[in-house]
Amino acid sequence: MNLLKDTWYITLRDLRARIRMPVFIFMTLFQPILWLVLFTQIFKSLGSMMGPGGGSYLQFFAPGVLVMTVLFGSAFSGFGMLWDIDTGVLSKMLATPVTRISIIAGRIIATVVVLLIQALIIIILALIMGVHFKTGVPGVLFTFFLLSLLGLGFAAFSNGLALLLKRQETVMAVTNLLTMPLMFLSSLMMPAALLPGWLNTVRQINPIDYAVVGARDLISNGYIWHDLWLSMVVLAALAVVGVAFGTLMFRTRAE
Amino acid sequence: MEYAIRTQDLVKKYSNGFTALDGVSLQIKKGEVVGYVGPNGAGKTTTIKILTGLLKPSSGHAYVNNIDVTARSREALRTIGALIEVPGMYDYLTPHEMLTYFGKVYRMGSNEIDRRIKETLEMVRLSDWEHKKVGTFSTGMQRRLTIAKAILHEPDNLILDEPVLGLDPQGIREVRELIRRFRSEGMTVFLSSHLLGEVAEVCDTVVFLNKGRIVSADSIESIGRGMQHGVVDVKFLKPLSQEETEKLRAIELIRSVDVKDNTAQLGYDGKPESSVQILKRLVASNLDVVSYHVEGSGLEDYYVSVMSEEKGAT
Repeated sequence: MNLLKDTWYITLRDLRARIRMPVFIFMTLFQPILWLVLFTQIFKSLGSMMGPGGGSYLQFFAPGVLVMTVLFGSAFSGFGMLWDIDTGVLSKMLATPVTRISIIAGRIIATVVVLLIQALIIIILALIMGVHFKTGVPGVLFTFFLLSLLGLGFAAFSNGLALLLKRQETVMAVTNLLTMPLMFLSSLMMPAALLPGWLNTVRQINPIDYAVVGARDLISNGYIWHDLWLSMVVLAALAVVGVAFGTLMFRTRAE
Repeated sequence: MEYAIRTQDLVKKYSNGFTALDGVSLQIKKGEVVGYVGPNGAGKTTTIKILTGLLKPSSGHAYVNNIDVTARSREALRTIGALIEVPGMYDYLTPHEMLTYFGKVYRMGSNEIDRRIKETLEMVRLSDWEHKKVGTFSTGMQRRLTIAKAILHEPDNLILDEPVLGLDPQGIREVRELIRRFRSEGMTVFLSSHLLGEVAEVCDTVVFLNKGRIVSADSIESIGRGMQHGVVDVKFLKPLSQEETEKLRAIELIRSVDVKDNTAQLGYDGKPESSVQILKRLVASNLDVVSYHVEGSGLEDYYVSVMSEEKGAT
């Protein structure tokens, strides 16, 4: 009970601090808009290559924007932990009877909440731009569920990384090294059919691809349960591994 | 004897082989104000971090209100208010929001939180800033806010690591007054500081730490008597003439005279009765005394002598 209460207080405090930062608000709103509009305009002519029936690149790419937003937003959330360490905020919290794990849990949950808000903005914008959601509201909620697992796993991992490395430059370098290949070694930006053979092999061990495939099915193709089950299992495993890593780092390195 | 804060053969070794604490045993009585002094790297902050649950000792024990801080940290931390390192806080929160959060963490009721926020902010003179964002605060104000946070839950014990670091003279005075007030309310205060003058002003006892070991621990009064040295700061109405300065030197209890314009620092044997006699002699000499302040106990000299002995011994 104390864990839940403390996690709730920290989540609220974190969200309150974030929504008071004008730059943060602007980036939260503007970034998904930028990506959706920019990429779909740049790759508009790829619509004819989407496969039987054609379809627009926008319809194809909208799920990718969702996954990309969550990936980058969660992967860089560890910088908040670094700030807390460098400014003494973390010490201040640790020198209280707060449930220890709630400190990292609250931060991760706050990150996921913000990312889901961004995802909602993208979905609304996509609808306005003409994207058709095949599975309707239930499918959107299911998409949010998959995105939450993705965000949870990467946010926890990012916070753990921050506790392990404790230096901004190093965390930045490692995060870039992970996120960029993960994004490009998937069907996030291009249909699988257009990817080279070796990449199709690699994407099968890339959790980002499972997130993209799941989201794309829910938005454009319908309930393809084989894909959706795989997405849920892989993303749940990612969340478990990420949370385990983050928790371990917090317990051992939060001094 | 009930001790508020106690450590028993505390040892802390870091993974790089550095030994920060090498068998530190402290006993701090309830209601005592204890200063913890030593050079940089002596282990002061390490001790404080162990007492506040931020670090685990390599061996030994730390107790607050007889609760083992390592084994039952959350229970121990309920009895502690701490000010550690820099006053980090979220710039975009107000004091009310920040203190409300900490109040909830300390499991205080909503009414109690609201009452204590008002009381503590008034105590640290930040009442007018209750709903203004912390990012607009000066260093001194942020430091006062962290003190408010430390006492919000009315702890028995206050642990302060360099409480006046980065403050201007006004800020230092304010913190000093707060510590005096906490002492009068029966709180146990354990503070580390480099400013020996401040330690001499507010502490009952001083513990000297060097290279992870306690090298000396004694009351301020005993140190003063032992050093047989004290200093009085006197302010006169007008700058002193040569003749008036000679009058000062002629007072037999005064060992040294350092005059600057209308102020003088007078060295003497440190005994309270001697300072009384000096004041009487000054008045009898028709010198217009505006203020008379007994500065301390020669703590600085004692510190230097203790650390020099320690250096010689090693």
